[in-house]
Amino acid sequence: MKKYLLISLCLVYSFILVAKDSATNGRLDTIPEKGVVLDNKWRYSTEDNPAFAKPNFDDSTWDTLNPLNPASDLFPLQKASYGWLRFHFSISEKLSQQTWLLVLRQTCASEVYLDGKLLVRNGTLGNQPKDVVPLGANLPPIALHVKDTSKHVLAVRFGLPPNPIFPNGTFVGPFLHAKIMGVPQYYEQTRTMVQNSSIYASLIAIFFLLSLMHLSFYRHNPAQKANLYFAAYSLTMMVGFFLVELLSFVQDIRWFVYADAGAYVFTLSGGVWIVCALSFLFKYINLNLIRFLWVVQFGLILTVLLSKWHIYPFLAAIVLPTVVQLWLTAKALKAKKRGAAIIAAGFGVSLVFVFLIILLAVVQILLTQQLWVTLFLFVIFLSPALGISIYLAREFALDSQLLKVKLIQVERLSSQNLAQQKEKQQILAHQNDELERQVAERTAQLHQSLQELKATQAQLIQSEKMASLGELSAGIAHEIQNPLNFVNNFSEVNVELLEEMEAVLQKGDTEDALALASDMKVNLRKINEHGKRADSIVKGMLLHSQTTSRQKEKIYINTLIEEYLRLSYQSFKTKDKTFQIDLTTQFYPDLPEIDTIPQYLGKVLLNLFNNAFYSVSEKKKTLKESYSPAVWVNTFKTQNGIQIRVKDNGVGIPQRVLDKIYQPFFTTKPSGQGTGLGLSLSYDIIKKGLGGELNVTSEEGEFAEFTIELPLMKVRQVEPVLVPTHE
Amino acid sequence: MHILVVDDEADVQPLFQQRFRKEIRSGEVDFTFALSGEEALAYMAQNKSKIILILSDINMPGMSGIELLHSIRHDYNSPPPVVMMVTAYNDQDNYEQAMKEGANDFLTKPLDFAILKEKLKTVAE
Repeated sequence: MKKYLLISLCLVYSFILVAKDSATNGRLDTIPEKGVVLDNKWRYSTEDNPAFAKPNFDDSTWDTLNPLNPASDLFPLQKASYGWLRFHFSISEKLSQQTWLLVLRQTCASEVYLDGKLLVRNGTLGNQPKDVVPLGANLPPIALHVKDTSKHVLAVRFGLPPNPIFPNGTFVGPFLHAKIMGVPQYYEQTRTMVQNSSIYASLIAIFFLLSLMHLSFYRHNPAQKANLYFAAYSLTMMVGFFLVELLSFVQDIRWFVYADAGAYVFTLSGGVWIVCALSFLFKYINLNLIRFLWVVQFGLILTVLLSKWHIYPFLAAIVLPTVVQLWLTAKALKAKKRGAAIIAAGFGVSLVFVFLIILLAVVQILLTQQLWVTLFLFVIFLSPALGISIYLAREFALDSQLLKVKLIQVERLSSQNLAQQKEKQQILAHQNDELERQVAERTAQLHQSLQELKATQAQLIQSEKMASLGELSAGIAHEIQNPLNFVNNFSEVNVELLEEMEAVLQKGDTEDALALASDMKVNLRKINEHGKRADSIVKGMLLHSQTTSRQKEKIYINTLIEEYLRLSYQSFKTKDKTFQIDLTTQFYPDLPEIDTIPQYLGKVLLNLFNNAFYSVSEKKKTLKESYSPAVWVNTFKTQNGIQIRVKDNGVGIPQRVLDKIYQPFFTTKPSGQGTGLGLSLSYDIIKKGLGGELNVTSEEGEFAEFTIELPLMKVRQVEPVLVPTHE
Repeated sequence: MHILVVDDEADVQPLFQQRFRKEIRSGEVDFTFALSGEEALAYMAQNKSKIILILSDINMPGMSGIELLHSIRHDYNSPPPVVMMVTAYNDQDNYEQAMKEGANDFLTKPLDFAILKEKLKTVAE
């Protein structure tokens, strides 16, 4: 920013004044308000002779020089480590009435003589150039007691330090700047300096505080890097201004020069820190641009310090970061970034004052008033900094507010959450209670259902029995009607035969009577046979419907099988009269009698036969003519018992239901056609009731074969098989 | 009158022979017995027009009486013999089936030979 120009204006103010101050011609008739600088007419010698201090010494052979030039220009090879300057002057009558002050600024050590009398010694001259300590800044004024209008001689013995103080002589300043001024002017100048100084001091303090504030912002929110860069800017500026402040105290010219150079370095690098801060603050981060800017800036600063034409790079070092800063701000304004206006306002105020200063400088009003310049400077400096600072502080505050709001939200949410949790827990507890209650209720219901189920099951088993009885009834009716038919008819025939026999006997024909008797005997045997047949059928039927525990008895298995096969087949035929089954029975002859309960075994056989017939009939329905149904019933003698096999070439049992077929109520028949109890009862009868085994092998669509194994040995008294024990 | 009796019960033969002793002796009727439908059809194939009347049980292993009736009505129906079905199942189902297949009459076991003889008389006339 152009404010730096003005710092520099302060720094090089004296040079400007030098240019403005009236020159002398060795005679001071009037001394201007600001005093007079003794710029030429100085004669010099590079020899060192104490006699040169004397007023009557003839220096007419000496060359002249202008000591306002830098020492490095005047004595390029530093040959003159010690030398002398002489200045002849006289003042007018009017001026000789006043008290005059000689104010020196120099880049050497010196002894000043007025008319051969030592006035002051500045710095240390020593005997060797290396001992020279140049004191040349902020020197106290020297009173000049010149009370006449005659010629006077100001002689200066100087000592130069062996090495140049700074590579660039122009930057170091004049070799000897001697100014004669009145006491009021000096007072005025001193007052201005003190005021400037206090303004700089306050700038130092302000920037120090700003840097502290933004460092603490950064510490609390490291995510906002802008605070860090702004703190760096503030610290840099603080150091810069501190160095500027030093310039009004330091006497050793070497320190003065370094402080001056430092002030340039620091104040000029501040602009780049601002660019960093703005980049991060507006989130237009372009690290390459920033690196480039640093490099260029340091190049420019070095040029300022090391070249003779330092005003141009100096201006460039001010303008370049300023342009980037303004560009960033404009971009942010255009994008309507939050708070960009605050920063823009800071820059705006600063720029207004810069233009004012330039305007006033042009019309030469202000530059005569150092204090005003400094005050303007103060504003120019602080307003962008304050703009950025306010912005950042506002961001911080907004973040804090946001955090507060968020915190409140979080608190609210967590309390809501807590409430919800509580509610959930309550609901859960309530649900648990409800669940417990329901479980208890359901358990009771289930228990009841189980009881009902057991009752139903018993009923079902009973009705299954009745159903199988019903299935048999047709067969049984037929079976009974047949022997009954014979009993009735043969007995009727016998009555007729008896009548005939009586008639024959009355005739006395014994032969005929005997023939009739033998016929009757045959008939009676038949009557008896068929009566027994009916009896056994009825017995079997009764047995079948009985549910009481039964004793085992020795029975002929083959006979039992035949009887039941016949019953089953007859029953089956009544349902479908056109149905043809190829029945093959192969019974092991002389099968040993076994202890078993015939009606139980009969029930099992009946089930197996019915299933076989059903299976082949189902297959016939789908395959029609191409299929001839067949059922095989075989008995075998095994090592420790007997085996009954019932095989059919029907639909078979699918693999997936093979392990289910013994489950109660499992049926593959259409609903209403099978109870699903037949095989389960059969299994229980064989396993539990008769101590045997019931096995099945099948191939779906091909065949099914059930095998009953019954043991020969005496088995325990069996329990009645009423309820399937699969539960 | 030649009568073919079809029944799987072997004792049917002596029963009929004794019941119709007088009629057999007088030559009014003569009987042939078949123990299955197949046997009956084989006999009929041999003795085409000999048979006037067929008495058949319905419930037999192998070919049932209804099937036999069906065969007779379709294959051996010239001249059509009188066919009477005899069954132990006195149920509507059997009766309807028999009538549908063209049975002339329907008798139930145990056989009442008095009724049978009456029916035979009407057939003979």
